[in-house]
Amino acid sequence: MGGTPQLSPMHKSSMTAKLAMVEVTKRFERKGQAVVAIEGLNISIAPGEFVTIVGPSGCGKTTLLRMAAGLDMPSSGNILLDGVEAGGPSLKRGMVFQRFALFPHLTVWDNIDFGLKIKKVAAQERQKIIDRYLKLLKLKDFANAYPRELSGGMQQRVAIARALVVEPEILLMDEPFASLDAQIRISMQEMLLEIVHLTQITTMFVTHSVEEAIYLADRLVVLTHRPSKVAKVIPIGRDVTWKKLKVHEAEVTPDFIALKKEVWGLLSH
Amino acid sequence: MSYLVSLNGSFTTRPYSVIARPFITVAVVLLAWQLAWTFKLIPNNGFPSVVQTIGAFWDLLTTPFAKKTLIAHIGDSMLRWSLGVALAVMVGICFGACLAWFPRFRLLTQPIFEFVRYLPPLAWAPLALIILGPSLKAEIFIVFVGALPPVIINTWIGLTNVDSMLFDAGRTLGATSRRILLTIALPAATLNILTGIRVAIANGWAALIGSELIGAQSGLGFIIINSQTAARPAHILAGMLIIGAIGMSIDFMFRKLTRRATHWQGTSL
Repeated sequence: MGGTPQLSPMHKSSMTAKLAMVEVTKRFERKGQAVVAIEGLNISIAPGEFVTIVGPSGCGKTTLLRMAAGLDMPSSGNILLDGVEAGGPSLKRGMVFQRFALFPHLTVWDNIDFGLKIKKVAAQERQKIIDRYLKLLKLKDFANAYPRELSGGMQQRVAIARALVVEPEILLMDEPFASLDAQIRISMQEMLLEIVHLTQITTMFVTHSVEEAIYLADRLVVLTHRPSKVAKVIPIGRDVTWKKLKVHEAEVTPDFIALKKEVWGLLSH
Repeated sequence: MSYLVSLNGSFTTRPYSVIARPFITVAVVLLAWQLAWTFKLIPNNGFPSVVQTIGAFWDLLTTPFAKKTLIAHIGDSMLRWSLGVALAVMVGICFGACLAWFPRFRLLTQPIFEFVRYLPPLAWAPLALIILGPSLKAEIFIVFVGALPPVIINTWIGLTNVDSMLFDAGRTLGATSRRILLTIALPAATLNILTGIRVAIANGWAALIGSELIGAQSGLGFIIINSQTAARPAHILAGMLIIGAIGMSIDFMFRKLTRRATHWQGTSL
């Protein structure tokens, strides 16, 4: 690793991508045996794009996202942010975790403020920014609450606000709605799309729910079983008719159902 | 049971019968003691009665004991104890944090620490008295060595038990390792650390009284050992009751403080 990565022509697109994972392989040892979790995986995400990653359970989706965040390093291959080796975690790559990971001793306000302080944003400015995000994520009345006093859906909204306020260049989401119940999950999905389209932030969203992956995606990446690599990339875009519908309406349109069949087909290989 | 705390940290109103309960218990014990003494159920070998003990207490309160009033003796003990415990808390939190945070530091110091912590504080007394002389320094040192291990161990355990996902969240918000330790790990481990301090307070108090039995010229331990030489059992017992009552009061106040400091996790201590 380090130095200028050697890129083949087929990976030229990774130079214009916001985030590119190039020939990424991750090996680790489990009970003395070498396990290859991810092998020769290539994904590139264009600026402003919402890419969802869906794959069979245990295929290393979380590892993939942790590498994208810089929390784990690939065994080989490169992770590029704007064409440059991304390195360790920083404010440039925001992350939302499956189990929220809110700081339990801080109020909603202070949780959201955490990254802004590190970014050394002036106090007045921070106040304004936090107010805006509290409103955007419908948390206005809970600024002084502690995480344990909030429902799961609210906690995850705080976590999303905390990641977004610092204006990262890419938002990485690791099955963020997996631990929420169905109704909350749907409203969170709709809310997320609204915010993402509003802020134009680049997003990489990992999930094991096929419906969720289709509904949210501009582009959908299906992974194979371990060792994972990309099985297929399905472009969806924002112009499809069902994108304007609510989740439960979108899910019953023929186009959506056809997509679902295709993805299920790929996953059950 | 009687320490129910509502969400905002204030005490819920309790009926008088609940508040009165401990006082009733004390009254019953004292009555039983006095009756047993009066009807000679306790062998008549010098064990004082309640009335005699209260008399001795009054005597200590009104006439100077070894040229010092009771309040001055208590003041001396409290000074030695609080300085020793304060020192142990400061050193213990730093040392425990280093054990948890720096693997290399742990490898180097853990064996020494494990050995030293099995030396009872009073085993240090002879050496402390020779080197530091029968002085405030020696007393503080003995309190310190008694109070130190629980602070170290609980800080260490507390930090180790903090969900590492919180550290990952901090890293993706741009926090340095130092910032994560100070603003995430230590605050999230507050309850463990305070539990350690609570044990340290009790250990320090025990070590202090022990050391005053050996080498001091004032203090509560000095009162009871001096009353032994003077063959005044009622004074010994009065001294013991004061020692117990002060220890209990400190613990009570400390529990209140702990509840306040950890209100974000709804402690029921």
